[in-house]
Amino acid sequence: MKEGFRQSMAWLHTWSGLLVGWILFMVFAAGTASYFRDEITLWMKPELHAAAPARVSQAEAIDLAQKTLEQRAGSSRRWFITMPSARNPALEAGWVPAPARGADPQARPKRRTFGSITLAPATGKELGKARATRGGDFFFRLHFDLHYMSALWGRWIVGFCAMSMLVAILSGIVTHKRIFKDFFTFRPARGQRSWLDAHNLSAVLALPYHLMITYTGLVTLMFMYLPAGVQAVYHDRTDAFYADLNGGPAADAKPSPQLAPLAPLGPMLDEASRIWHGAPVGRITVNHPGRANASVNLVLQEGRDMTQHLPNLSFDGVTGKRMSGAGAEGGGAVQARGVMYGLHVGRFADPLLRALFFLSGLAGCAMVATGLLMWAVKERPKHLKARQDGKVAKVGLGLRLVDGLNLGGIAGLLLAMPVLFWANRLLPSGGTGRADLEIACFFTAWGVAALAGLACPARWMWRVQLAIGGLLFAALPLLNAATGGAGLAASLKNGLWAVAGFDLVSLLLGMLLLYAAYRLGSRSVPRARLAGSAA
Amino acid sequence: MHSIPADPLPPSPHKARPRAAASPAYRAGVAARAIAAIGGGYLLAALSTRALALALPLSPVDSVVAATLTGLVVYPCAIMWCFAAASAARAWLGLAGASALVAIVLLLVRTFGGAA
Amino acid sequence: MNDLHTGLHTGCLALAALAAAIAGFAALSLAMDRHWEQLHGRWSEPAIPARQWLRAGGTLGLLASLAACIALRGAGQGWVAWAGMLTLAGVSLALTLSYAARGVTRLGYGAAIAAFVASAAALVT
Repeated sequence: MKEGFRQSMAWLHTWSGLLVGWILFMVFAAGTASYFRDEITLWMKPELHAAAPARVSQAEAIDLAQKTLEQRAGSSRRWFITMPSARNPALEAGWVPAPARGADPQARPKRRTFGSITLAPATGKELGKARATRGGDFFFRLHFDLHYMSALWGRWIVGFCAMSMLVAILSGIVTHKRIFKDFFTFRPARGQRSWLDAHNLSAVLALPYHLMITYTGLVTLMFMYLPAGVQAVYHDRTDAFYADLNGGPAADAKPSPQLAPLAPLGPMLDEASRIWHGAPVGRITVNHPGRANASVNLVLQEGRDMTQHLPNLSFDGVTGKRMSGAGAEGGGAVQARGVMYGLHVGRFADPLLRALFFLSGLAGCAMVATGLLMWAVKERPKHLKARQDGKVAKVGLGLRLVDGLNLGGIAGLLLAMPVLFWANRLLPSGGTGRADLEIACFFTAWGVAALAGLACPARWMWRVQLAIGGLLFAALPLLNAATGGAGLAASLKNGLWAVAGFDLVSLLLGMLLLYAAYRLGSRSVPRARLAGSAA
Repeated sequence: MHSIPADPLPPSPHKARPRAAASPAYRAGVAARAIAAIGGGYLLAALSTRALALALPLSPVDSVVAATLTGLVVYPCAIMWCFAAASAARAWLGLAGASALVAIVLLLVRTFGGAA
Repeated sequence: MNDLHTGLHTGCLALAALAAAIAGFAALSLAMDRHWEQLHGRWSEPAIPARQWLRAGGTLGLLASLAACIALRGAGQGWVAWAGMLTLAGVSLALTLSYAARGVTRLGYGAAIAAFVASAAALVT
């Protein structure tokens, strides 16, 4: 019975992995890139690279923000301030436009009409309108909302694939008989055996991560996937459920007719920082500035606690006194979910931890890719044998499809990603619809690569696509310097680690892909292979 | 175990079942298991989430969260059961049995007020 | 100056964690027949006490790595960091055993020394 169980789990592992593998590769690739989404966004806005030199204290930054907002948006109902941090050196201030005369003051303004300004905290200069781009947020959204479809559809599709992935991981663990014996085993240049070793290594050596990221990924959207619990207890009152879950924000109050000057924000930040043992403030929301019922809400800067429920404090806007002390609350289950959510998103992670997450994410990409490729490698001899026995005339449709999808899904995606960055720099920086145009370039490149892959899933096609992707990635640092960004010399000198890191990682990735393209050519092809068949 | 053993690779899908590989009976069996796993498994997960959410003696929001977290584990287990069962019929029976049990628990919890 | 100080301390702890993990995995890998054979020829296997020492030493190395990670990021994040360090160390060992198996003992000893030095440095910074 035990052998039958292992065998059935092996079968389940193969199919639960293969059928959704190409989507999973994209989810892993985009998700891994998302660990650095702020950095990617900053790279894609070269106009902001000038913000970096000189670091300012939180007190100076908040004073600058308060003065600017009082000038620009004195009659606005609400201000938003994002303090500069290591990940984004600029100071961002936003405001809700004051309602037009006669309009309903309670009506929610459309998001697009929000005013915003980006400042260099050291000089107070407004940074030139950075070009419109989705930046790293594109990859972040891509990995669970997909694209060119409603977010709801995207999330259901990704959720289905994620559950399939969880099944694949669990069945894989059951099937892998020699999980300890093969822990360090990698036998290169042995064909099928090497692919299996690579798949096992990338899976087992980062197994806690893979389990965590898959399960917590499902957790982030679990009330959409499994609403039965919410429905059973809260029936239709889902807003009540979310209020309980998130610790309920105060309802929107009408602005008081009485005017009153806003208290200086600096001392409020100091007090909050003191309460949080020196941790800096991240985001500030000012409600009804300049009115008698002004209030200020401060949220801890990300990067301190693992949980997604960041502590926040509220202050009276006129007197500057603290109103309520809300830390991260909620019972055990809610907190556990908060930690899981935080683990998945990983925004708490400092550079070292984020680098480790990134590496594990790459291992996940390798795991999915080697799995997909291994299936084709294992199937090919059977088809060849059938051909030799005269049973079939040519390679079966299934194998041919998998070969093509592997090429387009893996090499094609790796080619499309740098195309996005090239489009970001080469497209004119003004104009409407620019952000969407960048994304269209990404998908066009991917589409062309995928079609080419499906048409000719041959080894040379792999080499061509990997080489193109490698060149595009490796040339990004040069493109950066040539199109107005802070080149490596400048970014390293000024401590603009985000941009420098992007350049260096792109260079490394490019070299890796080029090396792969090179290796595919020099290896001898075993006799059992058909001329022109892939891998 | 000394030398690099010629251990068998995970068996190919075609040898996983004693029947002939691509026969209609085989395909029907796989389809039946898949429907049980994907559809029936989800139903079982939803049922258990509902039952737990009502039965757990925690605050309402905590019960819902704990129940939903558990439901996300029930689903893959149900899927694995459907493919590990000795036959497609066994898969369906097992799933139906488990669902019936949970449904009874749910009924009891509803009738007697639940702990929440 | 304070930034440099904390930076050094963090760097030393991180290095200690990684080096200890590599040393631990090196020892554990040699306690396995397959990898012992890579160094000492086919059909050989470590003597029973040698295997026990290797396993004990290897486990100790991994635990030392965990301690360094917890010292680095506290209890919760420490475990997460440890998992990441183990992944990095595991990949390093696997690649070394595939392409430079003869160097595994040297890698193990070197990593152990580096771990000691780095933790000592972390204690003083």
